[in-house]
Amino acid sequence: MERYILEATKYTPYIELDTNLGTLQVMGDSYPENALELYQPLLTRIDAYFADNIKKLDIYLQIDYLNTSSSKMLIDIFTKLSYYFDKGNQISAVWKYPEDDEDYREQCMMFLEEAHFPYQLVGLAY
Amino acid sequence: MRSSFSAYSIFQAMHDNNIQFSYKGPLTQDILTSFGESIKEKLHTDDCDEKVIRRIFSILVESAQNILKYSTDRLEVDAVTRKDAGVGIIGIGNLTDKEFLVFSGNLINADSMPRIKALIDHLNSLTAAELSLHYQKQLKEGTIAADGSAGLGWIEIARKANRPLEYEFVELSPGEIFFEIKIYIRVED
Repeated sequence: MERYILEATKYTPYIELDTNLGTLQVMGDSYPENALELYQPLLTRIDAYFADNIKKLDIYLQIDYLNTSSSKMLIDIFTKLSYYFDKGNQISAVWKYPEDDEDYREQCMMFLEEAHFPYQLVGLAY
Repeated sequence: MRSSFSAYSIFQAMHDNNIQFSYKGPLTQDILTSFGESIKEKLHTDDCDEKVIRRIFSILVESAQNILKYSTDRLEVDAVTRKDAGVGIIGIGNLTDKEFLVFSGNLINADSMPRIKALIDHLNSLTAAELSLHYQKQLKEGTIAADGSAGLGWIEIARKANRPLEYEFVELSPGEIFFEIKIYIRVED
């Protein structure tokens, strides 16, 4: 396994997990009808990546809009990553969000409360 | 004359209620995206506040996906995969300078009426802080179903709306009900 790439569509984000570099990127809008279908392959690959040895993962998120189904999957991904962080893996996240959007910021904070790993929340001017 | 249809009756209904966009048919993802993007563009042109645009878009997506998944009136939209989509109506109006309206409606089974009624009445009874906690609890403790439902859609709509959410059940025939909901979004000064 090296790179898992899912190209963006009009309503799903670009997803890239590079296991050589130890990076995960999710960029774009995320409002599929079924987010379980969209994100399950990524969850499976995250498990495979952390299955042996201690690893590092730098996460970069720039998701303009998330529907509720995607929010649920994202929190499940955060819970999983927190579990791997607690096992000694090096995990950190940068999350860019529209800086004037308090709703979005509140939403991010809900996610990040679940994160045991270090993170940066960065406001972006749109 | 083939039917008594008149475009003017639709024009008049939309005009009288200040409705700008409305769509009736299967709410596929592609239609939702086109519809949602057009409305975003129109609101940007009108210099609407970015935060209000985001709230409206979110309510449109959750409303449309409720119809897509749960409307009992269904149409096959892909001949190869046999995938179907729920049929319904969705639209947006700018009622006053202070408030937008997003409305939607679709057929449901009479059996699901008590559940939907209890759910929305409960959301209407909560304060903003209680809604936020309710959302957070469901987000963290809920599970996602095989069809992608996370039990969050209505809570999200209620959080972003100016409550109460106004709904109505119109009985069309025994067992068949048209469920409609009006969601108001306040424009902050």
